[in-house]
Amino acid sequence: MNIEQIVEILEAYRPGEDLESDPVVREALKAAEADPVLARIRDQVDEFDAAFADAVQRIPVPDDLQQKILQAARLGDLTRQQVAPLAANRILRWLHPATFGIAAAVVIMLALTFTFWSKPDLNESRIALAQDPISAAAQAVYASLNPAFKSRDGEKVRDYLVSKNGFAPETLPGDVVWNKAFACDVIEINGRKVSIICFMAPDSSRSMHLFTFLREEFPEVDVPSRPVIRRSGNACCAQWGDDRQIHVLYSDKGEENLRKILDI
Amino acid sequence: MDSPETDTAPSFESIVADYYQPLYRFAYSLSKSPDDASDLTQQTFLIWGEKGHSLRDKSKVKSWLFTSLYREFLRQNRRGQKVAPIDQEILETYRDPALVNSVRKLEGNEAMEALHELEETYREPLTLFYIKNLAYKEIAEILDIPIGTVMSRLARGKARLKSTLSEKLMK
Repeated sequence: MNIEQIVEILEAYRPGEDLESDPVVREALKAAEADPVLARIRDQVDEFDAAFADAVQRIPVPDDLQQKILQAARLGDLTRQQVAPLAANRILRWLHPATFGIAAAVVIMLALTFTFWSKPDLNESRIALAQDPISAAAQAVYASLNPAFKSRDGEKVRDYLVSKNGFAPETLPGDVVWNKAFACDVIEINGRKVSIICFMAPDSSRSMHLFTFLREEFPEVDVPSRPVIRRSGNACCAQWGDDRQIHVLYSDKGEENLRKILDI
Repeated sequence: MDSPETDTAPSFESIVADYYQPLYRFAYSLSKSPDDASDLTQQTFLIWGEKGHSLRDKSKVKSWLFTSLYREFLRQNRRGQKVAPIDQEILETYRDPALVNSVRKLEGNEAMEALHELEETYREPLTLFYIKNLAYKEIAEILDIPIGTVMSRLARGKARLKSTLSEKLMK
């Protein structure tokens, strides 16, 4: 073993890593004990490591980074603790990330009986659309959407929503939604209630998703009175509201259907 | 810096509090950009929020986070890696006892600049080695390389780091 090999081992050696079981390491350590030059090198390795580790700990971290992460988590509903179910043993099961895989399987099974149901596209653009607490909350629900109630009968969908104390949209042409509705749910996200209605686009080509929030639960957010459309890739959403309700309407595939429904 | 590791699931907030700084520093060393490092760090916690539940052994949160961040970085920045051998010139740095004293006065940003001058092959394990005192086994898992490779890259990376610092600080 030459000096370069020994130095390389001394550089890589760290007590507690169980490296001494390697005969080559043992030999290098033994050499370092016997040779004062190598012993000094080993000391310098330790001193340098300690000094540089301290310097690395001084690398500044943005002051607001922790706050940003937590804020994003709250808005985006990243944790189980932040989602409270309205009905026991129901919503948590599909909202909690632990069951995303199961949820996917469930969706496949459901597809056998609800062939018109398909999970929304999960694409990167949804992040870009979440520009405020309302959009972010809607996005979080949208990302794992699997409504509790599905039916081919729009009336039954509405009845279910009402039975769960959900709130039907007041400012959207009701017939458009209910005639084409095929699923709904009422959940709480970060303590705020949201009604979800899934319905087919006017041309029946795509499913669309309407999220309705109570205005009083978002007093800090400016909400346009007329629908404002945001688009990112193929994903787009429209947001609008009045003094009672706030709506977010989603479409995976372009804004043409959004504009038709909203008459804009 | 290490948080107590137990079988009980830590809260999201406590995980963020424990790891956002070392993750940011690792991200910074990889990306060479504070903004990209912030994004990578946030993205890592987004991934944790979506997939962290699948980690059954909660004592592996730390390596899971670092691994996720590293994979996310790789996903965004595909590139090859090369390993160069140690050379005799680098050994000269060991004969420079003033170097350690200078390093002790090093500012955090200067340390990061020195890391940034290294090839990625060395910068990655070195940063993990210094920022959070990860075990070699954990570093090997994060970077998906054998422990022996971790050791050789650490050794050669440290030698190059010393050479770089020596040039910078001892002018």
